[in-house]
Amino acid sequence: MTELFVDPLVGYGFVRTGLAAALIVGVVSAVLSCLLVVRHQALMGDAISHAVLLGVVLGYLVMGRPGILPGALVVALLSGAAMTYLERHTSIKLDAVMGIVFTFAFALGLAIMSAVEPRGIDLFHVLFGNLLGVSSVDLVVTAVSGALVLAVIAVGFRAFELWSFDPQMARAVGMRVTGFEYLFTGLLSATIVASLQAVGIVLVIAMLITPGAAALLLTSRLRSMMLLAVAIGLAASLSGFYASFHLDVASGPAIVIAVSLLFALALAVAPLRRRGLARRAAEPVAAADEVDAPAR
Amino acid sequence: MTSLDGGPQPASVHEAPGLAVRDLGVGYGGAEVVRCPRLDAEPGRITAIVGPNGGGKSTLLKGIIGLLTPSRGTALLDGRPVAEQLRAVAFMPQRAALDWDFPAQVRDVVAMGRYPHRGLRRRTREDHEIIARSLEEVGLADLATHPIRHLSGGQQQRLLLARALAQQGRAVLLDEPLDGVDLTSEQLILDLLGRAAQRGTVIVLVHHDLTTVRQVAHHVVVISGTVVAAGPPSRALSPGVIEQAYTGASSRSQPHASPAPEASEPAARTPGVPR
Repeated sequence: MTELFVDPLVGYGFVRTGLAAALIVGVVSAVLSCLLVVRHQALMGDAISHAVLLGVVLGYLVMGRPGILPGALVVALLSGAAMTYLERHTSIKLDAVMGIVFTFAFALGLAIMSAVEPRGIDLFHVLFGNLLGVSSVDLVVTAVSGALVLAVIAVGFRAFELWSFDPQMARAVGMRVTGFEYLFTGLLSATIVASLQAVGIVLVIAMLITPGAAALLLTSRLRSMMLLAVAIGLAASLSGFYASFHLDVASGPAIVIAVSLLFALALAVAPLRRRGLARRAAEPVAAADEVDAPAR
Repeated sequence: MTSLDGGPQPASVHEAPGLAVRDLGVGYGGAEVVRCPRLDAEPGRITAIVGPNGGGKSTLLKGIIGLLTPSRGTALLDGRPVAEQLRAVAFMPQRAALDWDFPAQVRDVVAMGRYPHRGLRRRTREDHEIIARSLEEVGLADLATHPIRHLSGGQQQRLLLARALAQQGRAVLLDEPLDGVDLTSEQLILDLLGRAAQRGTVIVLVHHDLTTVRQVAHHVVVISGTVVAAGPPSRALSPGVIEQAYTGASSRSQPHASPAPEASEPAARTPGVPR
């Protein structure tokens, strides 16, 4: 056992760094995934993470390797803000807005990369992760941004809960919902950038959906959903990390396969919802088709 | 401004207690959907907003509490703008506006009614007592720890009412609170609203069933793009008014701000208005 799980950590510092990064990503993205799932915004993570490629490329070109994470964060925030802004101020809905913004940023990133061919960026690693390439500076950035995200959600839990369940009431009682949306986009951007090294910008999408979705199958409160999602995220990161090390599989795919298997497990043990007759029958057949019948 | 109230109802003065809407214009993206020259909801009575589909009932309600930004006019509660005292106004949204698969227990949703007072701070013993009492009032105490995804339509409406009550606001505004509920829930909801009104709460509800409105509302405002009539149900829901409101809705270019005809006036049979 020890040679499987402990020896890799003792032998190589970069392995310890990689494992720490994987665990942080597992926790933070799991918490975010709960909010994305209950808010029906699962693909927002998809969109921002693709746009991040542009930031990775630009950051590298400007500052070299240390510029990658700051560049990624700036572009993530800008693209997230652009999406939120366009959704609020045009008649185009969020799904289409996301498609427009992220494909543009992704295309621009790829175009620049193909033209410049920067030597320091491995496209495969950016897309799918490379835990064993996590530097200690990367780890600090990941840890600090992850801690910030968790702190904001822990402190503001009640607000996040109300805003997610009933944004109308949130606004009606005076919550600044627009500011809240930008804040949430910021948290999401920070999480994606923190996950960059571990799972890459394509596969982080899974970490921003699957743990929360699996937890939702098993719980009926947002708080317990978050705790369970964290457990699932941790388990996926841990098992994916060791699978990656021993089987020589890229870390991102290994972690995502692990989290998908955990989802399947949750699906197997969760009570499948019976399409409740009482609930369906109670719903008005055509509420909009009301005809008022004044009694005489 | 001409009072549409008149008659047996005492005309409200500007400083009167309760909710006073003055010349409020509300719409979407610059297009005004509804204009409300005057609406008075006094504490101690149930005010019902009725009118045809697309007449702007819900839009008006959302304008009053600021979910939609009014293009003009004001909404005052006890003489002060509603916008300055949002926590004093509880809003009960349409049931269909919410995702009932959301991971929450019945108690969690009622607890949201304390958010305007408590915010992110820890809930006090008083909060928990209020939450428990609200659950009991709507008959959901036994289901406090049930997931909301298991509730029936009537239970969902009662839950939303419990949340509104837990807010302990000066006013409660309800958007179709009886939509899709069984008779038992309907009676319970109406009883609770009546009792809240007796305690001095301002109750304003949007509802489409005129029969129910006749039975429970003390004051009725008929909206079809503008205020067609206002007054006690017997007068505001006269056949003439109803004909005017419900047939005028299809051609809203013509405003219907004229006072209601007498109730005794025979109304011709009109398509779209079943009798």
